[in-house]
Amino acid sequence: MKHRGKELAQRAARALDMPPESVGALRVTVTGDWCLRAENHGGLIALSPESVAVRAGRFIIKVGGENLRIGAMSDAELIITGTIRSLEYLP
Amino acid sequence: MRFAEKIWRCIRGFARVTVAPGDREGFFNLCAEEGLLLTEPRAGDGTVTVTLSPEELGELLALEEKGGFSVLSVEKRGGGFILPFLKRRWGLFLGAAAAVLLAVLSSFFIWQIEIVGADAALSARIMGALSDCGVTVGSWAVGLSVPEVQNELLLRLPDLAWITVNVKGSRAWVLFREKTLPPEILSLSEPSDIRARQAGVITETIVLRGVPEVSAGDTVAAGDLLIAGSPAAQGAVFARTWYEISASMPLDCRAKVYTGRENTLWRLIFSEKRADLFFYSGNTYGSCDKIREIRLVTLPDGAVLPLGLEKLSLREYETVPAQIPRDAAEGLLRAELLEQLDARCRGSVAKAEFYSSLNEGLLTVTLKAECLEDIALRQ
Repeated sequence: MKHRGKELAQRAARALDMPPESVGALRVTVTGDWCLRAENHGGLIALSPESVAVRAGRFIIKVGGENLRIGAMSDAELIITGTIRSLEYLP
Repeated sequence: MRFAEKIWRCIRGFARVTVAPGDREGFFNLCAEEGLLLTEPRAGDGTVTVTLSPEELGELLALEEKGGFSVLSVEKRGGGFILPFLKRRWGLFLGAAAAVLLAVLSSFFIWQIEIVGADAALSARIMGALSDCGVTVGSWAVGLSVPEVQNELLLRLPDLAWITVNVKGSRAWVLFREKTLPPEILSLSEPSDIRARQAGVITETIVLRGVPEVSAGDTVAAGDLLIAGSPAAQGAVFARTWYEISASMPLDCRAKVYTGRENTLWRLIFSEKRADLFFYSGNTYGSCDKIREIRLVTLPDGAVLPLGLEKLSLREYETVPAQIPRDAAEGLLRAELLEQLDARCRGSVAKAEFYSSLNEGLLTVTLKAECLEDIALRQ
């Protein structure tokens, strides 16, 4: 229910040409191959030096690489550092 | 983390907390849900170490039971943890404030007077004159009229050409130059003769004024009339003169041998007062070397405070009979004799010979010298 409401809000934001992250959509910023910033994330699912899985609404993003670790984490933002090799969206 | 962030974190304070979570990802998610900002998390062997602010540390500890993790260690660092600890120590703040106040107040007074380039006697005279002008250790430095003090000092010390007093903070230093006295003016109206200061054989007579009574080749004794005045005599009379000067010293003496016992005494200095830092810090040694070191508190701007420490190092010694090597003793006596000759002869030394003898431990060195000098003495 919560996900559905969030999805509707995101659709409305797109229709109104508003920034989707303003209504809680995941925003991922990758800097080089060493830093990934995920805003509006839904929490960590798995954490290991080779991969980090982060919940993002109705999908999961999986970051693959080497020496991955959490740089900082709050309810709104998650920073992953290390050598990033791949970024996958899993349904 | 940027440098400015690190500085701010140190000022604000931070805690490195090591926890043993059952579920590592669950621990991160729980903290994020509770609004805790976890920075620099490091995963160990079944443990996670995170950095938190002082406020967030309390929240994390409150979550311990509910979150299913246990806190293994907490390292508190930075201002956020130190300041609350110091808040209860009001005496520290009071002491620091009192020290600052004391430093500020004391910088209004003169606590050190330095006289540059004066020997002990002149230093004492200048210090006395300064004291008469109201400038002493402990006197008020603010508003001191330096030109007035300088003028007053010049009046009180007529043998000085100029003097300047510089005051910076609580330090005053005095620079001066002595007057070059004019040569004695010969009065031609007063009757005077020139007589022999020293016995010798005349080699040359230069008469500027008066009647010569001797000529080259004459032998004269001390006090003999050389040039008769009419009324005043003026001139120079050169003669060969001879000196025989002796000096003696015993070769037996007593030498210092250090016993190995040393002691250091500390005294607190406040202005001219000294206070022992220990109840008993007297000197228990019979004979000892004393080395005194004084360290006054100096502010970064060069102001010297009247507060400091005096370190007195005592090194005990005994005296034992010893023998001075004859060569060394003879060298000392020869140097002494040459100094005496230099003080007596007003010309050049043509020939100098030393003779030495040792009699019952007493070394005697005799100097026999022939000089060429002006023996004229106006009387």
